[in-house]
Amino acid sequence: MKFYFKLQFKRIKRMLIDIRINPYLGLILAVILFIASSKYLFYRTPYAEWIYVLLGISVILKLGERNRNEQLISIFRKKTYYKIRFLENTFFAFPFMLYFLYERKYSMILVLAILSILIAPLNFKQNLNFTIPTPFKKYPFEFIVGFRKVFLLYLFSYFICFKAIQIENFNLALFSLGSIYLISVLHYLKPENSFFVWIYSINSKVFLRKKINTAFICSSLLALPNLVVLLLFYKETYLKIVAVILFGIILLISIIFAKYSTFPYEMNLPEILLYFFSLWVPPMFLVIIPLFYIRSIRRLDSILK
Amino acid sequence: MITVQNLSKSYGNNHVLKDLNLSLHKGNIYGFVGENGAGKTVLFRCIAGLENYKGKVISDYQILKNHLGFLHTYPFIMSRITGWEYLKLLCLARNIKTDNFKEWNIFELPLNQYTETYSTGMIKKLAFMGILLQQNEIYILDEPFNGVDIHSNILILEIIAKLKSLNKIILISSHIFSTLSECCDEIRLLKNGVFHKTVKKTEFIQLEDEMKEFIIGNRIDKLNIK
Repeated sequence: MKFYFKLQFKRIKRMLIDIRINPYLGLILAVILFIASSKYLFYRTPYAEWIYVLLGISVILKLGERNRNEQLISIFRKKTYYKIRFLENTFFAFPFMLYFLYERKYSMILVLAILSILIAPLNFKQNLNFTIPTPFKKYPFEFIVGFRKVFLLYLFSYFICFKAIQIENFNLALFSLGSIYLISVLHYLKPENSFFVWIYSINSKVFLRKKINTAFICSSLLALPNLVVLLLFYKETYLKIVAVILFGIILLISIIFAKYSTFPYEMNLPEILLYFFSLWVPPMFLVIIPLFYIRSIRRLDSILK
Repeated sequence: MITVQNLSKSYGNNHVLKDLNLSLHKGNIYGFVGENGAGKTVLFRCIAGLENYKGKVISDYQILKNHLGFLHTYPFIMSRITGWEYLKLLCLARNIKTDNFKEWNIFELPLNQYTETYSTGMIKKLAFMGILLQQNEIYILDEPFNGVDIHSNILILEIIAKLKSLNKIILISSHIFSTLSECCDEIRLLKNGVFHKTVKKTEFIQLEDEMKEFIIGNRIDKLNIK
C-alpha cells in the first residue's frame, strides 16, 4: 500500500514535469489558488458552504470510477483496497475540511467527513451505453465530446439564467451568458492526438479558421437560450450583452491558439498563466492572440505541411 | 509513384532506419515483415509525414499525406465520440460531404454507439472504413489483420484486392505471413534498420522457410519441454 501511494505521488510529479511545472512550485501555486478561490467563493455567496461540499464530493466521486477501482481490487486484498479508498478520499477531502475549519463551519467538516467515508466502498460506472444527443452532429469533435462530458454545467448555466430573471438580477443573468463561453473554453484544454490534425488536407491557416468557425457556431448555439432571455427582459442593455458575447468569442479564439501553440503537447505553465492573466487584464489579449497564433502556425505547419 | 531515397531515422543514438531506398508503384501491394521493433511502423510514419527524418520521400502529389490513408496498429479514438461521428470527422478533414455511412458499413458496426464501447477489432474496422471513405490513393495498413475476427479478415483481404484493381498503392505490415503472401506483390524483410531481403511473389515460400529457420532455430529445444 505504501508503494502504491509513493507511485501516485511519482505520477503527479511526472505529470507536472511533463507540462514544465516544477513540482514544488506547482504545489505552492495549487495551495495559493485553492485558498484564493475559496476565499472568493465564501465572500461572494451565502451558499458557499454547500457549493464547497459539492465541490469536495465531486472530487471524491472521481475516485469512485469503476474501471480504476476494479484494477485496485484485482491487485490488492479487499481490506487493503478499502484502506486505500478511505485514505484517498480523506486526502482529497482534507483541504476542504481545513478551509471549513478556518471558516469555523464545524458541522460542515462532519458532513464532508461522513460523506467521504460513506462513498469509499462505492464504485460508479460511467454509462457508455447511452449516447447523449448533441446538436453538433455536423461539427465533430470538440463540442460533441465537450458537451457530453460537461452538459450538466451547461444546464446549470441555464438554471442560473432562469433564477436571475426570477430575482431580477441583471448581472447574474449576464454572468450566465458569459459562463457558456467559459464552459466552452474547457473543451480546448487538452490536445487531441496529432493523427486528428494530420488527417486534414488544408493548410494551418485554414485549419485554425475552421476551428474558430466551429467554436463560434457551437458556442453561439449553446448561448442562444440565455441570449434570448436577456434580450427579452433587458433589451435596453444590449450593448453590455454584445460586449459579453464578444469577450466570450475572444476567450475561445485565444484558447484555440494557445492550445495549438504547444501542439501536440499540452499547454505549459507560461501559456496557462498568460491566458489567466489576460482574463484579469483583458487588453493583454491583444498581445497573446497574435503571439499564440504565430506559434500555432509554426507548430501546425510541421504536421499539415 | 512514391520514391523513398536514403531515408534514415534515429532516436538519439538508436538508429532505427538506415539509408532506406524504395520505389512504390501504382496497382501494387507491398508487404513489410520484421520482428517487433524492426522499424516497420517508424518507416510508415516517416512516409506519412508523421515523423521527421533524413532523406527524401518523393511522390506525384504536391502534399502526399493529403492522398494517404493510414490505418494504425492501434487506431486512435476519442472518448464520447460515436462511430458515425468518427467517420464524419475523417470525411470532413478531406472535405468529403457524405453523411450516409449505412451502405459503407459492411462490417456492421454499431455506428450510433460510443467508440469506447467497441472491441479492438471493431475499432480497427471502423478506422479502416474511415480511410476507405476518404477515397485515398495510397494506403498504409499497419497490422490490419491484428485483433480482427476471421470473417472480417476475409473481407479486408477482398477490399485490399479491390484497391489494387483500382490502381492504388498499398503498404501492409503483418506478423501473419500467410495473409501477406496471399495479397502482396512484393515482401520486404526489415532487419536492423535495413531491408535485409526483398522478394517477389514466386519466392514467398522460400522467404517464409528462411524466416522460420532463422526464428525457430533450436529455441524450442532450449525450452526442454517434457
